[in-house]
Amino acid sequence: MEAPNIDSLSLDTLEIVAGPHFETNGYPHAEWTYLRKHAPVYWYDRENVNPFWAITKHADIVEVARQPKIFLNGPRLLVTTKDQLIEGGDLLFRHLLNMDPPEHAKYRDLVNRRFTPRAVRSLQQEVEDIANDVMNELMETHRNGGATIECDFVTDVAAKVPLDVIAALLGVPKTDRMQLFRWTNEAIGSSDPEFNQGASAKETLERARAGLFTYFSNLVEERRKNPKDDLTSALGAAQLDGQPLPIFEMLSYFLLLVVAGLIVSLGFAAYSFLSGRQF
Amino acid sequence: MKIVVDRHACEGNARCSEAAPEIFEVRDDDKAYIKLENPPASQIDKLKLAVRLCPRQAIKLED
Repeated sequence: MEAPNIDSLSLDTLEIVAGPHFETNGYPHAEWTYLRKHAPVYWYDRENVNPFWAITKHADIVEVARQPKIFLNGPRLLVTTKDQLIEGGDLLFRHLLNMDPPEHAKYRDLVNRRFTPRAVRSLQQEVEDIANDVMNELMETHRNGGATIECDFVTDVAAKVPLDVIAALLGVPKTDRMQLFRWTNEAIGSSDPEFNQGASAKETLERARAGLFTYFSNLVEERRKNPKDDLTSALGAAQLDGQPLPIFEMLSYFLLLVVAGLIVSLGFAAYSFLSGRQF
Repeated sequence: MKIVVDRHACEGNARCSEAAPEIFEVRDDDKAYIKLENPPASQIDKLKLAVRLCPRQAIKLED
């Protein structure tokens, strides 16, 4: 995989959205660098995509993020090429990523104390144990005759550690964890032939959503009868303006915690490994 | 100049105490507190960074 030279790019032709371009050239670091240098606030208008502002400098992104009343999440969550656009996809869930103030803060406040640095520090031993278990299992199952281990780092390591951590936070039994991974792949990679099994992107996303919603609907019901010290019990018992959470927003919350929690951690671990960086 | 932390908005993300550890600390209640009311000029850049980085915009500088 050869990254393009920054000097060979031009503003009118550089590509930052299309999947096949990523496959051939890797993550578009050169394109981001070019945009930061020549057009840090750029109206990206191409035949294959609904146009959008590409803001590529850290300081500008921070400024945008600090003004949630001007820059809204709700109207549009994802940037994809037109052929991969899922009609009505934004309506399939309502969670923090497509909510705006004041609703956003109300929903965030329901669980934010479980994700403060102090709360996360208290999980350190548990996370270390999970990482050790994943590595020990790998040694048992993937030892290639001798001293070396051959494995798929993404599915065998990068996915498993965050999957077990998220599942532990939510109180999902170990036996159901791979199912969470499958739904995540179907939700994120709904147009990927590896995950959609011949179905359309929309059908695949809806299948993942239905699976996740049904699963957590049942788990919440169980936890409302027998509460534990986990996020599922907390969200099941949570109140918003004196009422239990609306079911659609509650189930969307689980979808967000599972899918976003997993895919970001997985990508970070895999990319760090690929780039030889310590993490 | 006076540093004001809105502890209702603060949710203990601890970006301020990372950016300006001499000025802010996050205590066991997951809220930020001011350790140094009148930071020296050499700390002002760190202080401004802390204000900027707060995800809840809970830190204000008043004249």
